[in-house]
Amino acid sequence: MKVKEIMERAGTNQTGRAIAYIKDALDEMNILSETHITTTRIDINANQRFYNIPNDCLKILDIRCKNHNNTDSKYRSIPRSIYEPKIVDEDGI
Amino acid sequence: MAFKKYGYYLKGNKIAVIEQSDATSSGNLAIAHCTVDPTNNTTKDTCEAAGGQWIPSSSGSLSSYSEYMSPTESVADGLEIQYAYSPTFNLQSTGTEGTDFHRFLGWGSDGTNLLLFTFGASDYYDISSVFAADDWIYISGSGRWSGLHQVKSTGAATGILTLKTRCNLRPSKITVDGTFAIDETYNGDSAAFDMDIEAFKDAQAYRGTSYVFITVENDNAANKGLFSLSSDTTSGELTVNNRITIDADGDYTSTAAAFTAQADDASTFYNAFYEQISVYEGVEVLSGASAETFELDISRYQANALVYYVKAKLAEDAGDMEKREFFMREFKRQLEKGVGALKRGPYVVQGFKEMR
Repeated sequence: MKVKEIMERAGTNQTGRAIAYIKDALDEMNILSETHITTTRIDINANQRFYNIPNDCLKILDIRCKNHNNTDSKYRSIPRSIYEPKIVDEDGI
Repeated sequence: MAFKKYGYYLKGNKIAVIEQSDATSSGNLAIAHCTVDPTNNTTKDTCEAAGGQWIPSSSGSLSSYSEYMSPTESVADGLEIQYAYSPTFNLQSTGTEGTDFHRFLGWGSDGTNLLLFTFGASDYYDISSVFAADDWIYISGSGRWSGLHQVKSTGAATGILTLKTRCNLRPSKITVDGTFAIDETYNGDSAAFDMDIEAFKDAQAYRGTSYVFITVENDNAANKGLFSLSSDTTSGELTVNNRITIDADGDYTSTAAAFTAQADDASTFYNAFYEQISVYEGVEVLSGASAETFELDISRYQANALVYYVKAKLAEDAGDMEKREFFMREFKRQLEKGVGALKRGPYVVQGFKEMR
């Protein structure tokens, strides 16, 4: 459906405001029920603990690592640690 | 590849990846063995080559028992994140290389904006006629920058593309006068330049492998491009290791650097992060003059829910909270109905085997 059709149905002719609300709605839809999903891969670097979350990420659905619990180079979901480990990352990177 | 055990936790806007160290204990002794054919696989290497898991002996101390710490090894594409995103753009690229699809070597910053770097097989890849200011592009293959971005200024003949996305790296770049030598070093021409180079080097010493993208004043092709740095303890001197290029087939190639000797060369060194980035043009975006004709990538049923949301927000603006609550409830109901309609049959429950 085109933006124009949505504006007509919602009874508004203010394009700027309508687009802002449509963007809000798309965010809300994806946070509530994940209508659009994608996957990205990042290199793991030795001694680097912190990795950036992708810019366009609204909701993380799964985090997988290569060779986690296997030796076949397969990606498997990794568990979330409730507490931070005792060994801190000294350089904070 | 080695058997690993990872975990994660969230820290602000970052994912903290942790890896479990080998299980060792100093209490009840265990004999090192392989889980597959332990008689013949007597070393860790042969065991893992046979697809088994190597159980180490308990010669370690108790303090190193199965502890989680930062990842111990680099793994290319080791982390995979699946996430939901907002479909505010339509990618219309045909994927034709050089036309609406381009490969980049990595990213950096000019202190304010995000930069993307590319390079040909042996010289700069001129992108001055490829990208124009305000073009929308879609980046994939970069963990951090994947997604939609807008071009700030026309691509440079030196293969640098400046985006409107804010990015500040410390250090981001230095411009210094110095000498390229055939032993793959670059040395500052004065004490002030030496100090700049030293500060640049120190600030990125934390990285396992640092990279720099070099643009030069004198046109020596061998001195330009993306290089990995090797450790250099000489003050005011940088030593490069490999140069990464993109060959005619679009493959990323890393070869030993071979500088051409050049004295008194004003060069700019960008602090770079090497990533094999794909950039797509031909992106239709939900903004600007053509926004009204933008076709949303959602089903008709979802579009109906979206109309309720817009009506709810308009009612909110008008101060009619009763209407707002009604339309917002309809939005959620419509959305849930749409998602629920895709589910059929009994559920199967499987335990999460990592939680043992």
